[in-house]
Amino acid sequence: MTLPTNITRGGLGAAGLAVVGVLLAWLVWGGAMFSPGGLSAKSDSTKVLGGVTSHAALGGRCTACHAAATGGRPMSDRCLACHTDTQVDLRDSTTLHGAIDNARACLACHTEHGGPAGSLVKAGVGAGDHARFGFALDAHRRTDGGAAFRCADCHSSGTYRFDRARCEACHRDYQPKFVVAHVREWGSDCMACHDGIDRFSRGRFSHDTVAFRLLGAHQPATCVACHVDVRALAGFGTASSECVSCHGKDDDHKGRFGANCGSCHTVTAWTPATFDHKVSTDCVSCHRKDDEHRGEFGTDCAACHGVTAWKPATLEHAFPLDHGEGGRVACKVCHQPGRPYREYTCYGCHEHTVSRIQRKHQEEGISGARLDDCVRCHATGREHEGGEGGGGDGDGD
Amino acid sequence: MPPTTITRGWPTELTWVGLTVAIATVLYLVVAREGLPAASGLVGHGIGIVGFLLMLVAEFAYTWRKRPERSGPGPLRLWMQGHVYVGIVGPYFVLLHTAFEFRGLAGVLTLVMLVVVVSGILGRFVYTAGAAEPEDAAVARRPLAFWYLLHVPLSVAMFALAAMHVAGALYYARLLR
Repeated sequence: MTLPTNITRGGLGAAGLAVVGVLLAWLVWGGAMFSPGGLSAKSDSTKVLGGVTSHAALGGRCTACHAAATGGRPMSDRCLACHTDTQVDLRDSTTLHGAIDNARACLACHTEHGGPAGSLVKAGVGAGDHARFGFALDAHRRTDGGAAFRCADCHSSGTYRFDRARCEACHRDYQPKFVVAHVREWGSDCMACHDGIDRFSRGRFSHDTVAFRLLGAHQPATCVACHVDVRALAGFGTASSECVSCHGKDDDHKGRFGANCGSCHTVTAWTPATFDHKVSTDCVSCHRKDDEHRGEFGTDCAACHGVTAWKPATLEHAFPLDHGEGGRVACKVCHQPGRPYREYTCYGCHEHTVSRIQRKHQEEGISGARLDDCVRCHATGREHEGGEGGGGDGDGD
Repeated sequence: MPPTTITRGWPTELTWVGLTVAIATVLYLVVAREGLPAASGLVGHGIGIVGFLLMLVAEFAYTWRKRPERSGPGPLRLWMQGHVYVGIVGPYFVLLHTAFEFRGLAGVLTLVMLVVVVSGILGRFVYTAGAAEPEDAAVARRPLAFWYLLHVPLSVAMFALAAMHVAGALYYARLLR
């Protein structure tokens, strides 16, 4: 028999012996010789699942987990056949297994044959994939003391149920003031807002990323100043961007100018403000307290005043202010300070002495109160313009 | 009669072996910073498969060329150097594949592999030192006896065990999961 050089009879014999040896070992020890490592001895002595308290107790019974190739059942069915406690968890979304989408794919997270003390969870599962449970561990890599976080730091029970009170209890240890205030403002259901990404920490969240930017006097505002009674993340999106939603109580105008504060005010400060007087022509609705005329001139302020400032003002004085020879006379010549503007006297002028006027009007039979009401007859201040009972073209004073 | 000794310099193929092993070791240590790569992982399986393929080349390429009826291509000495190179580098990769855990069939297989490699090294560089190839007519009968007694039969047995190891891994880790 001609054989390739290396496939000698000795070689074939050795190979044959190896095969026979393996077959014999298989008959004696089963498939254990193919085991890549010992089974976990992790045990919860209170639980007996599948007749054992640990995988290690299965010994070389590979078929306890490895179903026969012709059986048609995946290994996960064998896992759950023994782990009845996990079956219960799968129906409860508050448990670790109940919260996982593909919880029946046991081998996606679990492993074996790592030896008696080996982990039954694949490296990286949990830490890198924790977001699938609704809470990423981005902000929980290291404890405040610098140590790596352990599962048991947050999950106290063997079922990995999460007690939400642990957030507050742990954070209160190293930031007590903040936690007290934070819980007061936002409630104690931490996970209603937090998903572990730590995106709201100081310096990490920019309000510029949302429609309402914090500018001017809004910059130092605290979150809770605008986001009132928010108890879940979605609540932050419902804060109104209307000024009056926060500043209604600050409105000096008592709502008279409506809700569009921005038409006059800026985000820097309430004053200075620009006011468009087209908003209202009812001046006294705002300026009654500013009326130095004490209402004597009526409410049509715009008849004399502009919208820029009270002064200068224009006045249509029925009686000529340039009456006489001295040009435009000052108000106080006729109107005494502190007295109503409807009162006037013509004796403020040196031309009009009481004795002279009385003498001149005696001839017309005018005296008393009628004599003092000069403009009744002298509407434009001319001497002989006449009036009630007066001559129209007299040549007197 | 003692084997004929021809003085040779440092074998070139061992220099290449040293370089390759050094590079592979550095890369392995980089990956192993997070823990030794498990035999069943991507890295573990990868280097195991590559190592096994190199061992297949070591076995069959040289075997094919050295058959008496062939005289080429290339000098047989060059094929021998290649055989030494892949015959050491391949098993080294497989050794890394084990994650230094030796148990069951895989443990036996690793042991057989080491014996094959060591016997090969001894046969090539001690007993048949200086010969272009172990079957060189100038080499004494005694080393050849050693060669056929240990290295060659064990290498065939090793491949038989390796085949069962691969079949077992596929059966338990793939088909039965």
